Amino acid sequence: MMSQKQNTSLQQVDDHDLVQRYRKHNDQDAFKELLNRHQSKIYSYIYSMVGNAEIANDIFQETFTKVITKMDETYNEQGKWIAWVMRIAHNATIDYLRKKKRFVDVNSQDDPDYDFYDRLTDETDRDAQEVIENNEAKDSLMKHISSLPKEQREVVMLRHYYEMSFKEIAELTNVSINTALGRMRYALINLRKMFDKEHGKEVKYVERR
Amino acid sequence: MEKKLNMSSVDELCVKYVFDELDPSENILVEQAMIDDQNLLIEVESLKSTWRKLKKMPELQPSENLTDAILSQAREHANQQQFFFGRQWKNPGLMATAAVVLFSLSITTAYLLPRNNHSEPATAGTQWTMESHAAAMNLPSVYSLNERENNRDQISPWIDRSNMIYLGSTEEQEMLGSRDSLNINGFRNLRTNRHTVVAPSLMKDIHLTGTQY
Repeated sequence: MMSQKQNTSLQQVDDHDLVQRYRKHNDQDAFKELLNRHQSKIYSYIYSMVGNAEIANDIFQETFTKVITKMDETYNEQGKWIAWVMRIAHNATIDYLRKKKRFVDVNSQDDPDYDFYDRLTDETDRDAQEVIENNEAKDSLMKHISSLPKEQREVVMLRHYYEMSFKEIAELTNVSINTALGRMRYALINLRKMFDKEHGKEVKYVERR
Repeated sequence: MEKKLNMSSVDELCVKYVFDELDPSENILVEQAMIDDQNLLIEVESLKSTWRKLKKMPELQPSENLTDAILSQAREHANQQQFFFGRQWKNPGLMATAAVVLFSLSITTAYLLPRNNHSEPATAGTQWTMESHAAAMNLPSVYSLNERENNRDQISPWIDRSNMIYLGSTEEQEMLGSRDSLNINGFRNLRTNRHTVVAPSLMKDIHLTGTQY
């Protein structure tokens, strides 16, 4: 009862205060709340980039090992905590991809049993037909996203999961803002073409120049 | 004069417009440009609708085992930190034990260290410099001088027939070395004996070594 009350109150505390509680008072509940709050976005980002549950688990754990051990040394509380964590997750993901020396397709042959939706939260309370349709739409969406070049996919994911500004994305990925904006534009244009192709529509994208 | 969109930046501005990252003045410019150019309007609407579709991207949850492992790792790390820097040191018994151990250690170290290493922290730098200089000049170290200075009550200076000033007995003098005695005399007694003490010694040195000039 007490713990439930405490958890409810922690949900109203912002990240900055939770981080302070954890760092200064060793408040494990505060850390748990931070993890609960951001885990799905961080995990989804990693997973969408590497396309393999086992590797995503490893990178996710590696990320939080660094978060736990390096927080006192490297997080200065000036910036957003999640942006700092995201940088660690992003760097760990990119390191993995560099080591592999190739871009990983989310539905690649490396992981033929991979099903993006196996790990989705329980949706049994929703209408079955709706769930199927939703899953089909998501399936198609993820298939298209996975076929984007890594740089474009990265920008889309960082914006979607983290609502990062283009300035933040540019800083994180070490490119100029215009490059980040350009990557997003090409990602959206490419996706639009894929959706149109999928639905048998002729490509309606209008070239302005 | 009416401001117009720079065509080289229009692509970036369109994306920023879709993601609502323009300031109000740029917003007005893009909207005006869309009124003027229907293709630009179609492109912006296309980008917007594609982005709306991406909003359906699912969020995945890591497994509970994974999150539990991370939470227990955080707990362990916090406990380790706490052991070294945290509440453990607030225990008065532990604090007292630590203080006694540190005190004993410092006393033991003080006895074990060679006496030449003793110096006041505030003058350590100066002491080192002076000692180094003294060593380089083949002179008695400052510490030696200071030590003898401290022991001056036990040493009685005396003057021989050649007006050479000595400290203590001849045995003590032998232990100190004649050159030391001269320098000590120089420090202590030059005001009264400066013309008799230092000069013979310097001349003697020159003759003995032959390397001074």
